[in-house]
Amino acid sequence: MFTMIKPNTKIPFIPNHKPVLISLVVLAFAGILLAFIMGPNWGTSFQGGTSITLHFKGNVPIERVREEFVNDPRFESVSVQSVGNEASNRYVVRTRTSTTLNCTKLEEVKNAVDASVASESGNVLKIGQWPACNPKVEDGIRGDFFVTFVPLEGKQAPESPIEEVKMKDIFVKAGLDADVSYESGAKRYLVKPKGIQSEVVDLMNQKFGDNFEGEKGIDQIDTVGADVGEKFRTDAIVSILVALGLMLLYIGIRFDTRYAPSAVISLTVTTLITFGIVVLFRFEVTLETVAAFLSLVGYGINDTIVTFDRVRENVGLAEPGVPLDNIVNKAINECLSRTIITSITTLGAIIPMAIKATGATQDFAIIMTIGICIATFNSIFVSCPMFLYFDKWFKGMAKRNELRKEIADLNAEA
Amino acid sequence: MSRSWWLRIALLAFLIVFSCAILMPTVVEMVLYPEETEDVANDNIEEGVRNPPLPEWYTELPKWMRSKTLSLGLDLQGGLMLRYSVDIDSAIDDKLASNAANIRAELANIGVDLEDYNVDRENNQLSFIFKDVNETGKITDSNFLDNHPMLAYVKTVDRTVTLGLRENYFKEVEESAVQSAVEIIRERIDGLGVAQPTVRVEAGRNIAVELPGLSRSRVAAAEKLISTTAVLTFKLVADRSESISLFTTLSQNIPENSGIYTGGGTLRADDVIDPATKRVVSSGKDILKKFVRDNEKIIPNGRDIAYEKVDLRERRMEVAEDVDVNTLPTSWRIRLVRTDLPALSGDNVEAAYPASNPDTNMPYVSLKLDHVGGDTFYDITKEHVGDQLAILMDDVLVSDPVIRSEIPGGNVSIEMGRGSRQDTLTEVNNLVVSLRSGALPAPIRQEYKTLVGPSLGKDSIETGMESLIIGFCIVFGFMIIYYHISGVFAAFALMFNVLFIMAGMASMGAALTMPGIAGVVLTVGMAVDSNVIVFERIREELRNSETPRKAIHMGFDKALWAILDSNITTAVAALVLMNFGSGPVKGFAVTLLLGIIATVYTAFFVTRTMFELKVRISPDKMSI
Repeated sequence: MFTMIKPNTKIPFIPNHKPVLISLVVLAFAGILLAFIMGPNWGTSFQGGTSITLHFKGNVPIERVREEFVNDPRFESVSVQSVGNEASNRYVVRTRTSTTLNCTKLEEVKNAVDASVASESGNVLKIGQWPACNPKVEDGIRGDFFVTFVPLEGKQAPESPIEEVKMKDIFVKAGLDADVSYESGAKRYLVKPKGIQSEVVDLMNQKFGDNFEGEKGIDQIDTVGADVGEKFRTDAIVSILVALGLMLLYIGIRFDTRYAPSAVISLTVTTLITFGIVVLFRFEVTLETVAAFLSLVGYGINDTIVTFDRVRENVGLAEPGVPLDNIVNKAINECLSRTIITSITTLGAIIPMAIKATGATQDFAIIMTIGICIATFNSIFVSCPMFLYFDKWFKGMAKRNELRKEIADLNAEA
Repeated sequence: MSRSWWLRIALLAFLIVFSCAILMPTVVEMVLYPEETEDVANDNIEEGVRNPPLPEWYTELPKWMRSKTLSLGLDLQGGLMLRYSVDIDSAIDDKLASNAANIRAELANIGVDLEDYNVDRENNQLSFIFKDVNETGKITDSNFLDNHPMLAYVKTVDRTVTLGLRENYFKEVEESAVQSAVEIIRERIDGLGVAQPTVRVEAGRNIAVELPGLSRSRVAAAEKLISTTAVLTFKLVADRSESISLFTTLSQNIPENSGIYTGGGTLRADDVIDPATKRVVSSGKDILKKFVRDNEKIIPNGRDIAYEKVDLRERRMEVAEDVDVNTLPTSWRIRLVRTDLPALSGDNVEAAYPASNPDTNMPYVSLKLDHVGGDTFYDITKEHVGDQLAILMDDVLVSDPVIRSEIPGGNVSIEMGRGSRQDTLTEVNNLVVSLRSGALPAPIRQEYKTLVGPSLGKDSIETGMESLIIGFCIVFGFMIIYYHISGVFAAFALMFNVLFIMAGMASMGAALTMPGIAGVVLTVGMAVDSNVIVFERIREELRNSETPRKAIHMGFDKALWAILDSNITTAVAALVLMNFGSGPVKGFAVTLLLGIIATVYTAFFVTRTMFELKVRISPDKMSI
């Protein structure tokens, strides 16, 4: 028989747990601190903005791409990274801009349109309805909007509306490249601004000409509004908390109240340490990262429960008088072989992905790899000691209650 | 051999056969058409015209076996994913403000003057300050409030009466608005020719649209098509003789083989059968629209063309004899409407609800127009008794009821006329939904957009599959080296596990995404865990010098709860992910969840059965 951990191994985990437990908890707090000081590197889906994967036919160095985007005032806080190896000429451009039409721009366009419509109609028309822009939402407005024109006071409206083509011209001159169509029934113009995608394509075509194949040069585009990003962030945190809460409940029912909080504390420590690493090494936090963390919570609880199951079994079998510390230590040793083998197989499955995949999937695999190591460690050094602490605490409480009751009884007698 | 043992074998055999059957179409697709390019995929390939042709034995299989394939997700296939939110709050704000103005006007009509009124957008409340404290009762009167179904009485303080948004109103509006937006979007993207478009509601008020395989040159067009807000308008159907003469002229301009058909016939009881009547009918609205645009000059001023959906199978008369109507499932025809009347739009609709006639028990739509709308409507109906009203959604005619008499007060009943009660009810409900969301100019806002090119997807598949296979080999290798023959059992269990996950996904119609592949990889790693727990237990029991048979028995029994508990808690995480996630993350959660179920099954039934078989063959030896 080929064994990794010899039977009857007795590694004194519990007697020596204190320094390890303390350093793990310290690391967890460091993770929180890091998240607050450095701030996570929120991906496009969590902070809003656009992320574009471009590829070029010829050889276009990353510096040139970066230069074009950084020098363009339309794109805010730009970062450019290459995907895969340098020779692939494939780059991810990330920007905080999710629409080039912000409130200031919209106001400028409005003034310019107002002026040209007035002169076009012989000082008869002015803007009636114009979209409201909320400066609190960083984006201003996204998508299409309606515009109406009304006669100035005391003037008679002209018989026919301004032609679509002419109106489009007015908008383009005012600095907004858009399609304009007239709705005769509602007597208004529907303005459809060209999206960020067309603007990027135009820019790249203009600057790189033959090296860029227009629409075909775009491999991937993700656009997320700023307010939406914030909502996603809340959703993600809530979902992890909900998962932890539900697990607390399940273990509370299946085991007892000493096991449940210990397991959840252990999972929290795992999550926080891993998150600290994610922040420290500037991993982009994306929806896939959230998936990684939730899987990690799932994996961590697996580890902890298997050990707890053994603890519970051994408590039932133990002769009276044996200290709980010893029972728990024995249980950890009995499960050790399984704990290590499972970590090895899971890592064996996930590491190839961490090496081979690219982008978000690679990040997912790397985070899982790191997290699995931490989770394995925590199931031994956090879950079990915490269980013992909760046990002492609950027993102490029971004892105190008993004493109080006795005192109360004595008082009553007196 | 015991009966339960045979049952287990039978179940396993059934599951394997069933899974293979479910996955067969997927395999056939993959083997025969590995290089289907994005443009070919768009052309709605009909069966039989594919190259190479599908094998005969395959096409002879029953349809249900061929219908479900495990399709590739957007990130692997390329395509466009969009998510919109329906902006209801701003719409409600607008409605509140217009309600307040209307109430002021109504009160002025009955001789009650207000000192002032306020709109509290934060709490969705309206407060009216009366000049005379004795007149506050006018507004709290139940007859008055019935005319404003979105409002409910809140409180009266001194001369100030506060009305608030009715409790359920927001939810009702939200539901109907989202629902009708989904319908409209679905209809709009139908014309894009994407193989498997999906439109679904996410998290209550978000609409996710997925267009896999959409070629990049059409992305901008698709986006524009979807995000245009539908506009509801009321018009009049043009005079019949005028329509007939125009359509006759139009029908002479129909180009050959354009897919536009004409024919004489009747549509409504009040339509006169006239052999000269030419209706213009086509299977595609786009074709008709283009045709109308080309002949724009013929359409007189003050008239416009609207499009109406017709079911040609019920209207054989409409089409020329030699046309096979079965090839035209949904068709469109054109109607002439008048645009030279005062504009009345969905903004003027305050409420729309289904009602039913107490005498005939036939359902109809009851509309309440606002003050301005009510007056306009009265004027129109007074002048046009006997004419047909045209209710339009964008340029689509949804309903064309006949005006029977002038209608004062802005209370409109729209009867749908013919058909069974059930059909009419459906029609009524559809119209109410359209009216409500049209009445509520709730714009949709793009929340996010993901566009993936096909080459990136191809790379992802390759790396994903490679890492899956390498991961598999590592796990297999380790298990076999460490546990010998028992390791081989575990490897088999693992293969069944992956088979079941794939079959499960195919039968749910889920798509395989990159996060989904990651989910499978993770499951492969974690599924072994159940086996490891059992194997370690069996080893322990063997060390306690139990017989192999007893050791296996005890090993499985003792491991049962550890495995169940740990998998159930992981399933909790997967379920949360499923609710949180959108698109790709959801794909991951689905595979993880299926993986957990498959893991528990294979660990307790498949591996155990193999062990028991082994013990029967050689009861004294264990290779673990």
